[in-house]
Amino acid sequence: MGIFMKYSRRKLSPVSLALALLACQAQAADQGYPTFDFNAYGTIGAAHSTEDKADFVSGPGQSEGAGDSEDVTFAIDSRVAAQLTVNFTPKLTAVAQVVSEQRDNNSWTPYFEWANIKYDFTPDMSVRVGRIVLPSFIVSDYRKIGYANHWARPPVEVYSMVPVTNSDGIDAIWRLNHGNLTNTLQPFAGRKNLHFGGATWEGKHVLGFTDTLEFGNALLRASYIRADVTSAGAINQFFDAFKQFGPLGSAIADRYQINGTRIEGIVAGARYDAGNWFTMAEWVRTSSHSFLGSDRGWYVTGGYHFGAFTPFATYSTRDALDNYEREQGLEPLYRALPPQVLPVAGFLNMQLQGLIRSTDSSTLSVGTRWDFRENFNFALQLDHVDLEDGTSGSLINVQPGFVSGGSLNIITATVSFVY
Amino acid sequence: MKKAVHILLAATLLCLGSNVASADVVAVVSASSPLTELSSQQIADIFLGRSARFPDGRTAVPLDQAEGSVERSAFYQRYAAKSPVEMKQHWSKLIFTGRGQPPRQVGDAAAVKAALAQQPNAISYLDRSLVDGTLTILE
Repeated sequence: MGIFMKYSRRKLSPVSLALALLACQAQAADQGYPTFDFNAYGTIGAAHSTEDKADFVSGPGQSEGAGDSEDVTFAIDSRVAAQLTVNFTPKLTAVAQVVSEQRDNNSWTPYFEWANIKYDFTPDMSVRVGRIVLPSFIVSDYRKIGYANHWARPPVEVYSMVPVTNSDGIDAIWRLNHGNLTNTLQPFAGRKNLHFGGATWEGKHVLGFTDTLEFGNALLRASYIRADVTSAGAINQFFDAFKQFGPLGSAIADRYQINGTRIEGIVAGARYDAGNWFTMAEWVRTSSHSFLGSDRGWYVTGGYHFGAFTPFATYSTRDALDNYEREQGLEPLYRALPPQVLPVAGFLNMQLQGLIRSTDSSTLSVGTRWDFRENFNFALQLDHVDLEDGTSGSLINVQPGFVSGGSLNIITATVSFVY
Repeated sequence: MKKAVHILLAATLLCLGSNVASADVVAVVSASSPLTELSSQQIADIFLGRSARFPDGRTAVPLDQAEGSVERSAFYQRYAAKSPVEMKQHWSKLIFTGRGQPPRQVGDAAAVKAALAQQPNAISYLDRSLVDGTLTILE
């Protein structure tokens, strides 16, 4: 066998792999394979905001929310998903999950959240190829599954810092058990394209890993992710306009545009489940040399089980780490510009300020989950959001008359199910 | 309204409490298995999908009783300190991210005994009073 491998490795491998899989299939067919599993999950959520001159949304990919667009919106927390799992053999599994939720352009077109093939080399080591889940946060794997979580939605400040939930590529899951400790290491690589804000964001060389350590009631998690991102669309034309303004304009474009720009994130988290009560906290840091800048965010949450009710509270916050408020943009050029060009420079500068302005905010949430029926749960949540002075936080569709800074309250009610 | 909520809460707590307390459920393997003991943590890890092997390296195959049964609720309450809702949440997190599938559900106590007899690698749970010579209790 060894001689064969050395002799014609490249030609032989795909063929031998295919033959091995066929042989497995033939054998597995006797044992009742392939098997099919269908699962589904969904949430219907209603939210109301006390700020009616802007929209509160639950993530960056949404175009409409609670406040200005709707008094009570069903669009920011509702979704439905269906999943098919096929076990071809005991070691080979294919999974596809389709999700329908609000997306850019207010469409609800279903898309593949993920679709991949998994091979278990051993019960503790498997590799997946295709569209896979990006496990950046403790809860990121299942942030969309209302039933799996206690809150009505994951803390917006923190979860909007890494808005991607999947990537197209490959990952490996390698698990080690030692006594009462279980360690799971998950490296991944791939690419990811996102459409939001009217632009396409192409993420190449997505690379990272997540390590999870579990012992008894505790779980610790650390994650690193990076990607080289290039934008396409209106945002490119915007920075091209700066390049018309000589060396200063070009310097500004280079500093802020996203053109093969490396964006990195680190996440650290911990969770403790004591049976009756639980607590969880995560801390995130992202950085990039672009208008996205560098941010830090964290949250802490906890809850207690009173029979079918689980009251909880969460505090989350996000801080920009750069001093972009000091950016003068094209101002140094104003005196020397011809009068007809001045308004253009002024407009570009204003737009730039808007892009680099921080989206800092803090939120205190209280609420309760109610498991009123098998496979279903209800969640009620009240959020008090404090916006950084002079900013609109994560709010979108900001209308004239909006008073920046200040605070707003959100009330949310959701019903979720799993099948 | 307040009184109704109190009654509802009390009734829920009572229902959950009484069911679980009445069953003395133990983890068992076939008597033909080389395994004689396993810690609670290791048993929990196998049934929660965190571990796929016994300490001696053999593959472990966990088997569940029917969903909603008293023995099943008591087993997970005792070994994993999780209620049926928490168990469902636990598996939702793994199923919908492709990281695992729940143990095969075999049925009632009789079905468990039959399945364990056929598979020395299998592990399951039974009410203590139903354990006979064909099974080993793992304390």
